[in-house]
Amino acid sequence: MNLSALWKTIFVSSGLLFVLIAVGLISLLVGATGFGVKRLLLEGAGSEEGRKAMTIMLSYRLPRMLLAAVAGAGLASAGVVFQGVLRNPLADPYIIGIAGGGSLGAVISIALLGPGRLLGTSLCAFLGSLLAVGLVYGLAAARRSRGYIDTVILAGVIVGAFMNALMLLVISLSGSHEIQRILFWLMGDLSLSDYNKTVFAGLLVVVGWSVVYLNANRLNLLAVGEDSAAYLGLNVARARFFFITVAAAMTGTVVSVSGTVGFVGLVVPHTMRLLFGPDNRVLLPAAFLGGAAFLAACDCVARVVAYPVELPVGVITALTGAPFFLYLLVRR
Amino acid sequence: MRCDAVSKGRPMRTPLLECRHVRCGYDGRPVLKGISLTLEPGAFAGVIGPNGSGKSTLIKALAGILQPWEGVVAFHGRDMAELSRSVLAREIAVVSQEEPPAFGFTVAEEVMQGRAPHHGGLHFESRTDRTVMEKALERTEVSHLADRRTDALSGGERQRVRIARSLAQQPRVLLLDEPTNHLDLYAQLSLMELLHDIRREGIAILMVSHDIDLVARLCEHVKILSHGVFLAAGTPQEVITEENLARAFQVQALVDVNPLTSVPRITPTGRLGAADSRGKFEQQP
Repeated sequence: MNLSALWKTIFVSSGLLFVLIAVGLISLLVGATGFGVKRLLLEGAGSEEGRKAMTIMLSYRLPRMLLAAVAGAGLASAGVVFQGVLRNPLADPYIIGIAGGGSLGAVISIALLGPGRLLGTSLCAFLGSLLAVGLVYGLAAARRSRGYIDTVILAGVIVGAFMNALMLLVISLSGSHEIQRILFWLMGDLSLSDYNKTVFAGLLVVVGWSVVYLNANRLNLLAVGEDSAAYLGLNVARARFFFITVAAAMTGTVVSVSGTVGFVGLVVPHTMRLLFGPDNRVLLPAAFLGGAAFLAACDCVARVVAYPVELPVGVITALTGAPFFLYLLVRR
Repeated sequence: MRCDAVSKGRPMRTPLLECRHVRCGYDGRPVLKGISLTLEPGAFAGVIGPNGSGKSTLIKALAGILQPWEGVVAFHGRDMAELSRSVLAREIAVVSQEEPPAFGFTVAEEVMQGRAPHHGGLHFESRTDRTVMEKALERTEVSHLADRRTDALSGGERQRVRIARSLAQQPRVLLLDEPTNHLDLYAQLSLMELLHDIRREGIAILMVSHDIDLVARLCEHVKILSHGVFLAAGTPQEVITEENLARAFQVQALVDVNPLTSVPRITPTGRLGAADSRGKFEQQP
């Protein structure tokens, strides 16, 4: 007898929540500055050593871990939505040009305003993402009723490529002293985390995820086919607009605070689908929790693996995600 | 007292589905140019017509997902424009032409989607949903496939699954768009039997097809659609004539009566307007 979707959702979610908590605890305790966990637990925050350790955990590792979790959850959930709406298991949150637009915005802000203006970078990245999505929508509307999905994908690729070209132009025209900052941002950068940004992004991601989840059955209808979805009572155009807008907003939010972390939005949804099936009622919570755990784990590795150098988290997501993804594909 | 209509001897029935003088199309290009039809409860109607005559558009208009430019489409006497899509989807189920599966949904999951119009955006299936779903699987003889992925089914199995999903909607009208496309002989026959049974349970069926023999055998009322208007309407015997086939399909055909089924049988012999077409395949003695 099969598990009903409700029980499956509960089991999968609790399992992944457990994984996420474990990853979170480990990443709080692991870092370049080693301190004895046992001693910390025994002596508490009383001693000099203990105070130092607590400070490192709470003001450095915790916000960073939270930002990784928020970014991972947002990108993986947005990936699920884009894959379902575009009926393409190889779609990712950046498919409609958000990465290009966000990068352009961020690079302009870093090059013109300097890297110190964190808020400026986030804001410009978000505006850039909005611009890209707006352009894609405009193109899709101009070609209405002719293969909407193909139009969105093609327009997204082209808008993204154009934005990328503009970004490279800005990089080559600006002085080279910001190049490392820009490079980190493009590979996904969680090192500039602070509580305010993280909480703000986290709230937006949770709200976005929730409104999508409240429509999970509609996403299932779209995933099976647009004609049959319409015949099953769905207003297809409206539903597609809703899902793409929310997913784009989630992606734009994440990109604005963490740069363009690659691979999470593609590999996590796909992996979860291979493990737990394509039902979005199960898939959305699984991707949210799994994405958070995956990116938090990757960031933990990025912090310590090449000490004293900190790697951009995007390098780790690609290096670990790609082979695992290949393994899953071949195994099936 | 009895109501007026009954006392006159013949009860007035509101047609389940009715369209009057419907004109509609896409991007300003008309496809249906003044279509009227009614579908009574328990009817089995067929629309035949060549490719591009507007058959699929007719299905969309009758299902209420394509708004008419002129004219009215009504369900049970109510203008469909005033009814929400989910209300319509509880009454009218459509088996459209196949869309290739993109993800590995199982048969049970896909059939369960037929319950969607009865629920909101997030819903976990109730016991009723499960019973309805299992009954739909049984009636279409696909219970044994419940846990298989739909992308691993044969064309005939997939078509039965799609009909099962329609039955899970618990509709009063079933519309089918080219139901026998890509089906082999066995699957065609089993589909015909299935439709016959569904109709006997009181669901009104309308199917569009270019398979004239299929429509002639199954439907008691046939219309010929050509360039967006009905050329002829009536029983298969009245409608499927050499003259009508020539006008609608641009084909010269012999029509006689199939001695086994006693419905019209057609043998196309040549294309109209193609001088050397006639008799090309006929056996030379």
